[in-house]
Formats: sequence, structure tokens, C-alpha cells
Amino acid sequence: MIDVSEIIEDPDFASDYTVTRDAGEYVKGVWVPDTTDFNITSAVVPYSPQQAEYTENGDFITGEMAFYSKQVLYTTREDGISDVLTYEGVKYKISHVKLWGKFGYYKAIAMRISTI
Amino acid sequence: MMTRIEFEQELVTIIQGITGLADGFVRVGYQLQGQPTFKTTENVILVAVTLFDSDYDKPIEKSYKEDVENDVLIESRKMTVGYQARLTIYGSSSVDNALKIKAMVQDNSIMKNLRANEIFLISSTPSPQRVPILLNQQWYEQVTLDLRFYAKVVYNKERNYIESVEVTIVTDTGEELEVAIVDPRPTT
Repeated sequence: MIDVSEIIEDPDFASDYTVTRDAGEYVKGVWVPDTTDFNITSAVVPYSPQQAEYTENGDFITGEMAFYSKQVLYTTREDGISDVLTYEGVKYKISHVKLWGKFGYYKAIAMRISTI
Repeated sequence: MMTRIEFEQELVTIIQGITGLADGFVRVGYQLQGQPTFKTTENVILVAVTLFDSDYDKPIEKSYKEDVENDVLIESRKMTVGYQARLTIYGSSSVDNALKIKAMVQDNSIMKNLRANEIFLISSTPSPQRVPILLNQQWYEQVTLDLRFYAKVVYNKERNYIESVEVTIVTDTGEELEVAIVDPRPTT
């Protein structure tokens, strides 16, 4: 296998983002998150435009970013909900991950959850 | 008086007691940040409380009470509201669990904590509905059961009131008469 991970941490491409990882549990039927934060320096690129949705409830901003990482990034699993990634002050929640682990990296598509 | 989430969590406890499902297998639905779903081999129940329209929720009773300790007048507005708890019951035991819940919620001892909070089950519970769904290419058992309740809710507000007022009566000849206003409440 060709390890192509080196390029995603190249300073020409890499940015800092924070991963908020959940390992919560149910308490009386309510999922109570238990999160830890750690930082990753790796490539972050737009996946879909930051878009304004004009609704009767106000203007919402939506959009998706692609985050690359040598570490595994998680969608929701049995013992935690999807990783939340904070990039330039905006929070994104992972909606899908491409498991390119054998080639040395993971690519996560995350949807903006900060409404504005 | 319980909040919506307190009511849902009390229902979670009640349903766990009736069905014997372990902690985490009876869950509150529509959680803000999401929650892990379940495996198709598991029996899981989701609880979501909403409201239903009823003639009983139209009258709003207003009453006043003096809070002597804090020297304020409290205005209370009381009304009856209709709560509908929708149970979405998944898994191979879903029909059995639905019927068991429908029967056992009539047990007064199970519902005593809700009654203590002025939430009362409407005993004519509709029949459960079985509607299997396709999840990840597998047909999965799904049954819905609606439990209905009437609850008393009370909202209080401090109201201003007149403690004293100075009154002067001036007659048509210009004479001023003294007037005494007497508090009719007994002094203690």
C-alpha cells in the first residue's frame, strides 16, 4: 500500500482543528455526553459551500467541510455520538467518514452545526 | 408540577419497571445532540411527550392567595393540559411489551409518583399499532402505543395590591371630613 498521509500534514495544507469526542451513557433514558477535546493539525478543505438558508425563523448558515486526519475520526457508535470538529470557531458534526486507514489517513465530512 | 423532560424520565423509569428492560434501553426521543441508535437484535423503547387538544384545557382558573411571610399577593392561574406520551417500541418483543405496558400502567402503585405531581392517566388507552420498518435492509418490528394523561399546571405571579390610601372628603360647603379606612382582616 502506498502511504499518502504525509501530504495531509504538510504545512502548506494543514490547519488546526479541535476534536470533541464523546463517550457518554444513558441516564434515565437521556444520553449524557462525556466529552474530551484534542487538537489535530491536518488538511481541512471546503466540501460544500457555506450557505445561508433564509427561513421564517431567521437566517441559518449551513455547509460542510472535509477534515483529513491520520487518527481515526468517528461517526456515532455504540458508546458515543459523532465527533464534533471545531474549525475557526465554527462547530461541525461528522456525517460520514471514508476509511482510508490502510493508506494512512481518514477523511471525514462534517456538517456545520453552529447555526450562525 | 413536572417539566416535560422530568415527565419523560419518570415514564422511562415506569416502563423499565414494567418491561424489565435495562438502563439505556428505554430512551427519551428527540435529544438535542442526538444519541446512538440500537441494534436490530435489541428491544428498545423511545418515549416522546407531546400535547393533545381537549375541551378540558380551555378554562383557566384564576385565584389569589396572600403570602403573609413575604407580604405579597400571589395570583395563580391553573389549567388542565392533555399530555400524550408516544411510545415507539422496537424489537422482537415489541408487541408483548406494548400489551404489557397497556395493562400495567393501570396499576395505581406504578403511577403514584405521577399522581403526586398532578399527572393522571386517562384509563382508555388506545390499542397499540404494529408498523414494521425497513432498517439497514432488514424488516424491524415497530409498535406504537399512545398513553394519554391529564395534568394540572399552575403558574404563579406576584401581584401588586393597595396597602393603604389617604382619603379626604370635601363637602359642598368646603368642609373636610376625616375618613378612617379599616383593614377588615383580623390582626394576629
